[in-house]
Amino acid sequence: MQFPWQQESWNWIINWIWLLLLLVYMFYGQRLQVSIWVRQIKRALQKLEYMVRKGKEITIKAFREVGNSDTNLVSRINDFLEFFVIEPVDRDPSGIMHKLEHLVNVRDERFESIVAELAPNVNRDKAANLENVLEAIIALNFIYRIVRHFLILGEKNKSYVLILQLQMQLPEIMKYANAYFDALKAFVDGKPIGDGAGVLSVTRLLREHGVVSEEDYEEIVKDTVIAQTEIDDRTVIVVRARGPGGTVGKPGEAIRKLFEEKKLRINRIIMIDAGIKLEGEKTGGIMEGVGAAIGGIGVDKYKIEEVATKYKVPLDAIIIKEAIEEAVSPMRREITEATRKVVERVKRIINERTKPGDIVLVAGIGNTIGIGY
Amino acid sequence: MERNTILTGLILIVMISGVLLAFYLLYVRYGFKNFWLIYLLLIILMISFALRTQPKKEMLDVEKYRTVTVIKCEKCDYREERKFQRGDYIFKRVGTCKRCLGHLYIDDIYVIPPRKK
Repeated sequence: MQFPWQQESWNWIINWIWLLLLLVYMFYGQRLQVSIWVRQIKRALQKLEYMVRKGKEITIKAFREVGNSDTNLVSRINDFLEFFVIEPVDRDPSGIMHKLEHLVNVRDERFESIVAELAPNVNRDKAANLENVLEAIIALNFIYRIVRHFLILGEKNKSYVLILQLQMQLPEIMKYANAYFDALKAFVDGKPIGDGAGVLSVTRLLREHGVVSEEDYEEIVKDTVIAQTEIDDRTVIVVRARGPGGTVGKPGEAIRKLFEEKKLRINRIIMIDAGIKLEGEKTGGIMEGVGAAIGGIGVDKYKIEEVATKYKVPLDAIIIKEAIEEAVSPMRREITEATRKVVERVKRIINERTKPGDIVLVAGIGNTIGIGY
Repeated sequence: MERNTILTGLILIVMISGVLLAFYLLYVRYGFKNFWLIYLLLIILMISFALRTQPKKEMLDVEKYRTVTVIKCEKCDYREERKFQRGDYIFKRVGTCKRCLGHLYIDDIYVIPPRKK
């Protein structure tokens, strides 16, 4: 019998090396992989941190530009960065919409009051834009905090699963973060964003039919305006949020008021909103269906569905397709082009599905930043 | 975390050294006749694996957009494009048309995303 080292061949060394490598990979392979993922997440976190820091600078500069020279401005904004809303209890869903509406109103008032305090000399539109700036930086900061939380938690508990989940979702998370960062800059400048597609469509419709100035609109509820025109012998009432400051208004309450308080006998409701496109679909594509085309927390949708059901009014929905990150970032050309096509689509619906003398309600849903009358 | 990084580095060094040693021994023993391609392939695979797991650069970049303001005349077909200026908003009146003295207004504001390389 020969011992390995007595063999003439060097094969045994090679075999041992491979066995060793196999063992190392067997025991430390996963750890190696995790450390590579951790490195990726840390790089993304660095970028998020940069975005938050830069975002804060932009926010502070925006308030300074409108005359705030308060030395406490930075700390006031820092304090507000972790603002939150606790959703109402949903184990007893009866009446939850009223609770939600109340909370949304309280939240809006808090934003208004902080902007009024930090920028007392600005007009309504600029104040609305500053509120949006605060919302964007809060969203960005929230993403940063969540990513950091799960990274530290994963490292602390040596949790392969937590790190894996975070790493796999990283491209999506960064897409949202980039979008909010773009939105922040857009809000400071007052640029229209993708979410405003519905509002832009209805305003184009009105302008085609002679409604071209702010005086033609009436503020029916807070931050929500209506205007009236005639299209093919039908009375068309348009509902949208007021602009060009960044507001989404309360279209649900406005529509409820038109039915319940103004007692209008509306024959059809057409709602236009930006909607999420599926992967593989083109930005700016148009879809048509039925139902209340409105996102958000659900309060407005609930009110619209309630009155539409009560008065048995058909609801048409037109959606302008865009990715979720396109909805919060500056409006792309494909989306503005789509708004012109939507105007034609609405006119066709009015012509085909209503009769002369009917009253048609057209609601343009979305954020009105950068969109006038 | 520091420990983890050091450990990862050590494992990588051990693995790469092992492969290189095996490569060298094979070279001495067999003179690249039989196995060198397999070992070369292994090294290439390892390097490509390491490169593949690097975060994509575009994921970490901040995109720069160009925003365009389109101005039109309410009466004639006058059209002008310029860079977005703060204070611009869609349907804002921005003066009178030189051709027909009609009102000029902003018809569109949109961004042109950077071209993907």
